Amino acid sequence: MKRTGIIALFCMAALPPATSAQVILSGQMAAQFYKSAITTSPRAVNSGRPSFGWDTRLFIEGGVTDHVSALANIRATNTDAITFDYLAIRLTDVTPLGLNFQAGKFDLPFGNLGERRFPRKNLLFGLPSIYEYRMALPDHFSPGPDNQVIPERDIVTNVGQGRGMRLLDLGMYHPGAMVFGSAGMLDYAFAVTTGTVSTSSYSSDNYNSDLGKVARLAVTPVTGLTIGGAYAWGAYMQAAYPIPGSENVNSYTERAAEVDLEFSRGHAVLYGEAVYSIFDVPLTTGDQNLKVLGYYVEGKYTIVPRLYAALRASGLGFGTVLVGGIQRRWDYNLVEWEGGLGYFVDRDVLLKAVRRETRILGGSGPKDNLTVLQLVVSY
Amino acid sequence: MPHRILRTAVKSLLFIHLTIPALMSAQQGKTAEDRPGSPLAEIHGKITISRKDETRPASVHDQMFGMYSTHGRSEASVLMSQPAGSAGRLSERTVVYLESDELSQGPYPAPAKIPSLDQRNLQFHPQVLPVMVGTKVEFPNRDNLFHNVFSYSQAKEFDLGRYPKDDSRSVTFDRPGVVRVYCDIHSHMSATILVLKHPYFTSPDDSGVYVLSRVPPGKYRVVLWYDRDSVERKNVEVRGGEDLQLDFTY
Repeated sequence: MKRTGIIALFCMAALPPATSAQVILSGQMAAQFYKSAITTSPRAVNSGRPSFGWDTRLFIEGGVTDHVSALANIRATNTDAITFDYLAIRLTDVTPLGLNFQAGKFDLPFGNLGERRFPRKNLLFGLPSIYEYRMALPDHFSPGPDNQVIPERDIVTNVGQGRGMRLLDLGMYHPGAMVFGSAGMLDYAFAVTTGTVSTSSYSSDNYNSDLGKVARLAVTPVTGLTIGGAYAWGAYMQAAYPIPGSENVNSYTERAAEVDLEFSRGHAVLYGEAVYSIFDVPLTTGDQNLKVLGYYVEGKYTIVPRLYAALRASGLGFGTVLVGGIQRRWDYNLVEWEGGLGYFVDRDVLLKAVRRETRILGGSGPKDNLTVLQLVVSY
Repeated sequence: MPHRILRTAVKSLLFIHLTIPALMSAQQGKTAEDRPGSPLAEIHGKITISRKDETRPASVHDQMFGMYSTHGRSEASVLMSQPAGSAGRLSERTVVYLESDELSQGPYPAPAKIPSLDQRNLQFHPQVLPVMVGTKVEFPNRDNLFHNVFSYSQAKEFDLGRYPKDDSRSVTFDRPGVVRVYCDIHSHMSATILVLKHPYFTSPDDSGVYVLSRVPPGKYRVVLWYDRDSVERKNVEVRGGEDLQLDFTY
């Protein structure tokens, strides 16, 4: 993937000098100090040691013509190597209907995270738990001795460990193709990709014979209020190993529905999102559906010029699964609060002080917290 | 006879003692152009901008995420209809003004019309707005979406929040200086408000022709401001009633 990205960047740089061709660069850099509680919670960062970290993004736009551009978003952090999150060719307004098209690797049109996935526009430090927290259900497994792709015992042992898929995988970047556009107060998008909204490992090739599908519709009835909804479906399991028995990897499907809201007026901004996902899991005890509901609400208020306060409440609620004759939750519920202050030292320099409190409602009930001081510059 | 001369001299001295300071203080309260016997002049000329257009295009973030995330139809259509680097009109990007310590003393009459900095088609109009200290400026939103106008400049800090189309907020600029204005939602939008101590400023028409009228005699620096910075200064001396031609090429 990295090699593909480098080749694509090289191609962008070598674009023929059309009259309107240009390359625009911009980026963000964040440096932070953080300290989390020393707990067994999967939300603990660096085992609770006081740490410094950094995060940098580079945005590249190669404008070919007024209607054709190549876009790239490169990310590197102290914990991740250089990653091409977004690498797409975009054709805008190319049909009489005003349809737009993009192909490559892009963020799925699911939810309203938008630019808030980047440090400069993120009101706080982390993403909402529905984008970050790893659930008990994984997207890849080697078959166990009982010849199941997902052994029932592993669903139990994974509970509360934070090892599986995220409900919405960070920025949800996948290779694929998408059409999108607007009509009056409506915005619409439809994408076909190699992965689903929850899968994390589909950065390049497809790992099963299905494709993820996402459809989104949003309406802006009045300025400042946007209500959106999206539906995504597809097979989430990797066929990295032979699927035992008569099961087909495409039987492990995910169906996710979400609604989101953005409201702003004056110095206040409010965002919210709720996702309900059903994962089909064939087990020896019969096909079961693992259900989960995730949500977050976050708001920001500008107190005086330069200074704002922000608060987010998010959580995950898990359904039950029958394991060993016992009906039990397939993961522990989670509630999380994140609040903080942001101060603009300059227009492009933001200092944030953030505190996060996490409660995992099960097991030993670890109470986790994270304190962060972050400096962000954009250029 | 000597008494009469002495009396006349005393009267004259008394008259001078009483009237001259009063006249002087009255004179100080008047503007330079109000002073009798100081014929006013005009500085005019043509501005030619030959530099490559450096208008900032819509940001890459807007290009990436402004289409289908949350911002609605208007933004998407505006972004698509606005080619990157589209040039603004010369009259909206250029200001000519005078610099002189003498001019800074005032007082000057308040402007008859309240100036405005519009938000239209995801741009500020004009991109450079000259105003006199104490002027109230309106910030009407002409777009079918929200803007959030703000400035962190030393001369004036403000944050107007978000308000809908055809609504407006106002700010009074009570300190001289350069005020950089931005939109918190659309990072490519920027404008400059020049808060000056006097009313001797103007913008050219779109062909570059400008006229600074009713300029009192004196020595000045004529400043050409283009987009975000002053780009040229020229020293001139205005003599009573003699118009001056001064061209700029940048």
